[in-house]
Amino acid sequence: MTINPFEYAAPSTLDEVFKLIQQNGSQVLVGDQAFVSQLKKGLLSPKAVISLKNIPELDKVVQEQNTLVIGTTTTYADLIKNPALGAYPALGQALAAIGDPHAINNSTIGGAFYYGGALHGHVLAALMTLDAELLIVDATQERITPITTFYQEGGVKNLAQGELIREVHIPAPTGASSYENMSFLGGGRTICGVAVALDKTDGLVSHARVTLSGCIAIPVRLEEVEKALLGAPVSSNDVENALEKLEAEALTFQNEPAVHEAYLLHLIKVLLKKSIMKL
Amino acid sequence: MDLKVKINGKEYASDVEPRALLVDFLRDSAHLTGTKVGCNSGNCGVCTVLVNGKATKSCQLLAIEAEGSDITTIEGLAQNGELHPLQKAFWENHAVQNGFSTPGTIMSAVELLSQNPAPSDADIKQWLQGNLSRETGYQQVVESIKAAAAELRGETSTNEQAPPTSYIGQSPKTRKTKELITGDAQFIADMSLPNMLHAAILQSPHGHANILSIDTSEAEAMPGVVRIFTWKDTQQVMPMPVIWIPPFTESHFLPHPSGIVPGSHSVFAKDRVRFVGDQLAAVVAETRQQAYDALDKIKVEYEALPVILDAEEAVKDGAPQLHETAPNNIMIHTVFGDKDATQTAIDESEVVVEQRIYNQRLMHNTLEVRGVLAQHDPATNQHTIWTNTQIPYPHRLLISLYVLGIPYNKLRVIVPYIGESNGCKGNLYPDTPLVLWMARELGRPVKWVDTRAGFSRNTAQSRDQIQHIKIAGTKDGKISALSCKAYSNVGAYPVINAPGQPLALIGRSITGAYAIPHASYEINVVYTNKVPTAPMRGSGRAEAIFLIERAIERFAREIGKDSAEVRRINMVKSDQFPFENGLGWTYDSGNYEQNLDIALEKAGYANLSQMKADALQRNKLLGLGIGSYVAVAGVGNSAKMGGEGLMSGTWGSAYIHIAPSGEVAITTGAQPHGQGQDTTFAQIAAQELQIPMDYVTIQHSDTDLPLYYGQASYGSRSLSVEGVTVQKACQMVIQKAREYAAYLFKMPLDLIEYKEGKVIGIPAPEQAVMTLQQVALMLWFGWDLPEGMSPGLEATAYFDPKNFNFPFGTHIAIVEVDKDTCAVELVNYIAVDDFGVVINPEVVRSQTHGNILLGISQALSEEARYSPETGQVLTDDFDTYSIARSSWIPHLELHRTVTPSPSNPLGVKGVGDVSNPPVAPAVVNAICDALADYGVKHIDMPVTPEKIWQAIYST
Ligand SMILES: Cc1cc2nc3c(=O)[nH]c(=O)nc-3n(C[C@H](O)[C@H](O)[C@H](O)COP(=O)(O)OP(=O)(O)OC[C@H]3O[C@@H](n4cnc5c(N)ncnc54)[C@H](O)[C@@H]3O)c2cc1C
Ligand code: FES
Repeated sequence: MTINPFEYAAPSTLDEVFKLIQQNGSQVLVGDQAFVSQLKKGLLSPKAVISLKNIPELDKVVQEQNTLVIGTTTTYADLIKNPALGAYPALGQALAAIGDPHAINNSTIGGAFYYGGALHGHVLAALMTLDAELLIVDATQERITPITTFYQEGGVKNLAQGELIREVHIPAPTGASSYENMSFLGGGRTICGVAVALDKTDGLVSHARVTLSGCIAIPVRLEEVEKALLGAPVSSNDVENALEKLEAEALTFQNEPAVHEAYLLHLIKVLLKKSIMKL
Repeated sequence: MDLKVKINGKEYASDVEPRALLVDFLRDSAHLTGTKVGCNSGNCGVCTVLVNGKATKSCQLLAIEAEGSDITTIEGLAQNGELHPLQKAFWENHAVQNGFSTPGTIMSAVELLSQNPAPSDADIKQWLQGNLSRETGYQQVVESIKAAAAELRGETSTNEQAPPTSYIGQSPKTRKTKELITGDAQFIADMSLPNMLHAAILQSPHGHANILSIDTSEAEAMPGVVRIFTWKDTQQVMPMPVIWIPPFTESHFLPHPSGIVPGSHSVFAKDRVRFVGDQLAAVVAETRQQAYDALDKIKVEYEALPVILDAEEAVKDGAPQLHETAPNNIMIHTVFGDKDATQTAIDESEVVVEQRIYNQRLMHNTLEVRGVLAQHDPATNQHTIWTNTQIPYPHRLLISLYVLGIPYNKLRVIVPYIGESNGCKGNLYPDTPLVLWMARELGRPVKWVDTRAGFSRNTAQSRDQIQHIKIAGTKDGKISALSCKAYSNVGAYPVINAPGQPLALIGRSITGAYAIPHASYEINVVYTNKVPTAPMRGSGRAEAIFLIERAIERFAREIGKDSAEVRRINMVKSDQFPFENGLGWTYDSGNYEQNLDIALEKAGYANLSQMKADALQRNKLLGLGIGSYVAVAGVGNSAKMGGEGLMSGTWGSAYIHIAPSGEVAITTGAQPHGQGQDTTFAQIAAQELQIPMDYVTIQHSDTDLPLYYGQASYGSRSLSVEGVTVQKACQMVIQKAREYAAYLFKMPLDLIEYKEGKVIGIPAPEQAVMTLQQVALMLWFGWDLPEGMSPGLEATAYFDPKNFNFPFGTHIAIVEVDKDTCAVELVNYIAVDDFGVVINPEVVRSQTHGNILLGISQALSEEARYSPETGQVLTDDFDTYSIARSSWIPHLELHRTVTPSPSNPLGVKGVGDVSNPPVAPAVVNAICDALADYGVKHIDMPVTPEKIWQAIYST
């Protein structure tokens, strides 16, 4: 229950940030409340916390050509208000699923990647389905990484000490998208959520991205289901057939709370069907 | 580190540790304690403040991250002494009960109204998803926010209440509420004394283990640590006493050195822990942070023992044994009713339905945890405890006599503002005398305030009963017999009154609202390695009513009859009162069918098949469920309670004092914790004395008040037992005033009338008249008194009712189950209750909302879960233990009938917890009705979507 003591700095330049985050045991704080949850649970035990709160350029939502660029300390509250979100229904619906105003006011897009957790699962799923990428920088260079490769085996993040997740980039949508979730009695706590984006050519699915969240530690793309959707129309029968492929996905369900796999699989199918049939 | 912020318009600068949370900074450094701590994990919302105008749970933000921000707390809302429209509206709409969650909810609503000047009910419920209410419910909160929004839009001005002509039956704004909505009220966690130390208590990670060693050396060397206590330091402290000893059967408790009562657990475990809340050590340090930092450094070696968590398994041979004094882990085994005659009646019946029900284990999970502040003055040997308990006088008695062995007259117990109880604060816990003991040993005040996780392990839980039920009757619906064999899991130790709940409160209540010729209840009260249990809102009657209401539903389905009709056929008729239910209760008064009929009509029962068909169009399975009930309330006749085993009287008491100034002070034996007795009791006194309510002060919460002993508030007894003594005390002073006037006016007593606060000589009303104040003044002077009359105007009244009272009613829930996700949505809820005469209708409405909220929550989501391997409580926060949020609750439609109780002169019946029992069965009956076509007969609570899915897809 006790949080271990740590040093704290809130530099006002990125250079200073880079210097400080190189130290072993230092941890970036992107203004997200889940950070505190993790400290309390002992999941994070930093020696030093480097807050980005004094770096205004990290808090922005801008359209750069075909890409929506979201700075790492942008809060969900600011994101929700941004008209650019209209092009990404899956992201808007995922944010709406959070519900609690405190969580919306005090969660940031960077927090989703740094701390994860149930609350951010909605948003992560939407971003994966929208093929978002991360701009990761350190003192000398920068790289663009698709979210799907940001998470590696066993949930390890592709992020070195000294690197900073600076921006999230969402490419212009090529088709329609949606997010569906079932929360526990509307309490905000999600049991599972699915984000879907489909491109259609001549009424047939030409590109499908399907992401599952909530019941797993880190959202995953359901690649078998995506493949099975390709080339078919969005009809009840075809979708149901494609969903048979869910059994082929390698999923490790999170055990807390104890919801049985069979029901989760059923629920995922129900939500996927609902989500896909909307598009 | 330096932190500068603006709070409520004022600059604050302070040095904070980087790890300090904003909530701790606000409370400890800025001394703004209106912001509360409930869960410390972002779930409950009682710590909500505005940071730069944004609703923020201050337990989820590092203080240092708020550097440079503009923060508004509840203390900053009122401007120039004028309450904010939200504060006013919460007060005027009776949205404040115990008030612990009020500041956070109001702060959250401030941001809502700044964004949305005209929110709908749905908007508000959605917005408040992160602000929990445990006992108050959400409906009056929603109404308040709408009212405030209207005022802010300039649409209405809130109307000042005109002074009423009669007090009973009116709803004046509740007293002691302003300080709750401004954040000024001091709860236990908000209190401090000069030179105070802080304690943290170590619990066991094992539900059952031998203790091999405890090493405190590293912890002792930690900064700020003053002393560490273990069993070695408390050998003179006696174990907790047990004060419920049924005289009609054998009980298996633990020894107690007093020789008067048996014992329970000790303040510290010595050789063995039997549940995870067993205490091993306590650190006392200069700050709370230091105490908890050091606690982490205490090393305990354990030898884990097998745990037993299931009551039915625990009584089997070979199960791990908890206590040498309790073979097969049985604390008590007994039978209520005639078991053999009931079995014979069942054997002879046309139809018998059997059902096993598990009424799951609940956690009271009050948003406010428990805490104790204690002080000892060696010069006077005066001991003082401040704690959030429902039972201050019993604390004084039990701690002084049975635990610490100190003089009764040297112990004072004071209850600060108390944030919910649900029943768990009506218990004596080992931490309470421990904190006093440590304060005495150290010669400095010591304060201990629990954590949410600690609370989940040391604070009583409830329900947890396995029931094997048989219900029998004829094919046309007449019930002839009901039997139940039950196992109650009361956890590791027999805490003070725990045996009472599974015995009489369930056992004598299982026939519910029906006349059933043969009924019996066989009960095993069983020890396990779970947390000990205590009564919880609805206590005992909740388990009983769930049982009978599910059983009657199952029976009706079995014979293919309308379950409302089967209820009607078997209900106690209005001409049968007083009615002996065959198990020991005498129902006082009622018209049960009338409430059933009103409920059915309001629910549109006649259109049920149409509703179902419409819902099916939307892919929803609609179901309607009925819960009819009678709940014993108004504990109670002392002799009868003694016969049940309670080692205490249960009469009510009040002391009235009319000062020479005419001010009336009444000390009540009740212990309000959100039920509004300060208001309702003042209404009774104002009505009786025929004076303005403002002249009357109601006092409680301090054992040094002029009342030698009070029986406190539990079991819906406050009004119908304690409240009656307020009336009686008023009548006693009126009688004395009349006798005195007769003497002064030289008139016979029967010519002295008491009217409008005056004594009047009827023959000469213009000359022979004195106000109560004048009478009081003259009597306190005592210059000229009749022979034998003592000076002063005061009285102590007692009331020991001859019988309990029996509120009743019918609730109906309508649910829709999504055919695909199996999610349950409550679409309509109707309650038709009868609480006898009602003193303050809005207070009663508030209580009913709280009761329904808890019932819905039990039906759909709550359950304490344990690790089967270690016995650890897994549901130790509000993520894992999910309690009802605003968005689950539909608009609740409340109706009332009034059937006065003959059990007391006010004609009132209990309210506080009685309308909880019908809720869970109504909801579960509704779900089972929705699933009837799938052949689903029963699903144990909590009825989750997953269980529904299993029930309908596995068949
Ligand atoms: C019924 C139920 C279902 C659950 N399902 C899952 C699941 O599918 N997957 C999973 O990983 N965990 C699930 N959990 C567990 C729980 O959601 C997480 O353990 C918890 O949210 C983790 O919080 P965190 O500290 O990681 O931070 P975050 O998830 O970032 O949340 C921080 C805090 O905010 C609170 N919070 C989160 N979301 C909301 C919200 N929408 N509204 C209000 N408050 C919120 C959290 O309780 C937490 O205290 C479930 C819990 C329950 C009771
Ligand atoms: S949300 Fe902060 S104390 Fe519960």
